[in-house]
Amino acid sequence: MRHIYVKTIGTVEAAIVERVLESLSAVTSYPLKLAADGEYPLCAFEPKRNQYYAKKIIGKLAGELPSDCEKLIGLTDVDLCTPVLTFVYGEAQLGGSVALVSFNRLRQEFYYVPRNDTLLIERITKECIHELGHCYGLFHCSDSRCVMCFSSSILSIDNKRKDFCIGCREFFDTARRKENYASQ
Amino acid sequence: MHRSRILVVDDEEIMRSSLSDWLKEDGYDVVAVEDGYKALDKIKSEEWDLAVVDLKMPKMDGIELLEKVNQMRPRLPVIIITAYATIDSAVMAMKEGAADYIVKPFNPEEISRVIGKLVEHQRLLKENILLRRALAKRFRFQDLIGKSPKMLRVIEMIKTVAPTKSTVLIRGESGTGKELVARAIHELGPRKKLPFIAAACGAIPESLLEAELFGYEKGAFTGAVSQHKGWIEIADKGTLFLDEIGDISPKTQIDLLRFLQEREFRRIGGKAPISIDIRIIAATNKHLEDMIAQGEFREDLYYRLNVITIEVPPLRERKEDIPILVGHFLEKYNLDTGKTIEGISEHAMKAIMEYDWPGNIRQLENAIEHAVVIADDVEIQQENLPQQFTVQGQKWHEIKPDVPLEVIERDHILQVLDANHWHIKKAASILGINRVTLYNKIKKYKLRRSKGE
Repeated sequence: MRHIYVKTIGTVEAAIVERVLESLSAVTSYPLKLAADGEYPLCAFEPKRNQYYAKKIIGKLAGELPSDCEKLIGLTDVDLCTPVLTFVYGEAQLGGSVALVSFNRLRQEFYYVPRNDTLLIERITKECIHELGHCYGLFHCSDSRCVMCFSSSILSIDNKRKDFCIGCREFFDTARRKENYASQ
Repeated sequence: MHRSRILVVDDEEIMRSSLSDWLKEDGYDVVAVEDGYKALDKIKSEEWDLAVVDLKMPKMDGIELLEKVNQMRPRLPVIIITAYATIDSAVMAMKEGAADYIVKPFNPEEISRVIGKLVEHQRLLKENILLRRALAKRFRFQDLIGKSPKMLRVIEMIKTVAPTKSTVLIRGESGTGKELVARAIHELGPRKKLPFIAAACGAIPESLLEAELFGYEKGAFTGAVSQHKGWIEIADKGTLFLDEIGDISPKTQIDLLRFLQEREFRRIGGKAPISIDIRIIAATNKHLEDMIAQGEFREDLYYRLNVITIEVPPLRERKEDIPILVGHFLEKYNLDTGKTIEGISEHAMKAIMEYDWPGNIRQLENAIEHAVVIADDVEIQQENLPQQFTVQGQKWHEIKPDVPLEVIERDHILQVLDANHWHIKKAASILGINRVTLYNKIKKYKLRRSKGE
């Protein structure tokens, strides 16, 4: 039996992670396992941008996968970017094993608004499911309410649901079944 | 569903992979290459919906690549990306026709909006081309284009008469497409694999017409150095289309009548009669009944030819077909000239719709050809149309409604001739009629060069 792991990278609030795990399990309908904490991603730091390259962190995580890992979702609090994008909320290997989500721009405080943990967990869950979808080969969806819809702003994240649309759900479940079957 | 294809051109591997990964997540089919030469190879050999090109690259920079792409695939939108944005490079990129200019790293919202907009535009463009083709096919019968009730009646008539052997007389003004109707009858009939010979009776001097129609034996007259088969003989088992039948001489009318009665003829200078099995289709823009009354056309020949009549309507009586015809000619001359004109402005279309088209479809075709050659925009503007739609065109609207059509035609022909220093070929082309018709009109209206011409 292979599992979907969640791994914290650097300093991440444990209470938030715990609630995210519960929320994710509700959507995916199976329990997720917590992996050992990862170290601070200094190797991915880009001083010119004062940000962290998501792909570098993903590359590191991909090299340290537990043996019974089907997919791994990394959770971090650092501000992520890619060489071509000014920032990303998360990043994933399309059809691969590792996804990464940052809390940084999902926090209300980032927008100078009082902290709201319920909203934060809701947003993290959406981004985790979104990036996990990419790991199972899903592309962005044109349905603005589907979790696979591309979010370029915090408003678009809040606008979408934390679940897949019918089409994406079917694709996701089929991809999962195929992956489980192949690993047996 | 078809996935839009994006070509990424950037010399930095990290940029290529990062942009490709993000575009792939967005559902695009992405290929990334590291220089302009490889990009040109890809663009030449494959279909793309969008190219994202880095400005600063060794070998060939983004602007140079953009220029080459514009020549090779003018419809392909190119986004120029750069980490070193300057106003000069942005202006140059936009002047060279870049679809957008974006600074690296991109704001996710901006890049997503720009790419989404361009890809959607490309999708609509392709859909538009497909729909236009489907529409042209839908309203196209053989080479006849139209959906107007009058044109549909012509098409129905063609379908009815095509399988028979009956002689058909096609009537209609110059440039209405009488020969296309004749070809359609031939193509739909049992003789379609056999010859279709079009004989332009009005374009050939009377002395030559007889020889061309019936052929001659060696030595039949001075210059007849060998036996020559005429159009009737060449068309054996097929169809002979006698265009401008109203222009043939009384002598040829008798010869033709005899042939139509007996279905055999003799070559000039020949003794043995030759039996021929051909279908005759004749056409005229003349009023044959008037010609009979004036003794210019034989009544018996008229009845032999007028077994079945098809009236091809003038363009002014089937104006609802004009937009389809304009679309058809636009596509035709885009292909001929290599241009990518997408449509016609509202003003230009209004002018076209309001015009009377004395030269009918031939004139419309010439007008669109003229406009496609002149136009430097994606859309044909009114000023791209021939003269009569611009300065002179306004005069048409000033004409009082009690002026007979012939007066307008005479004045217009004279105006075009004078404007072109009586260069017959040029004037005929502008008027959308052939030279013979123009000569006939000059004779009919007794036109003379204006003073000073």
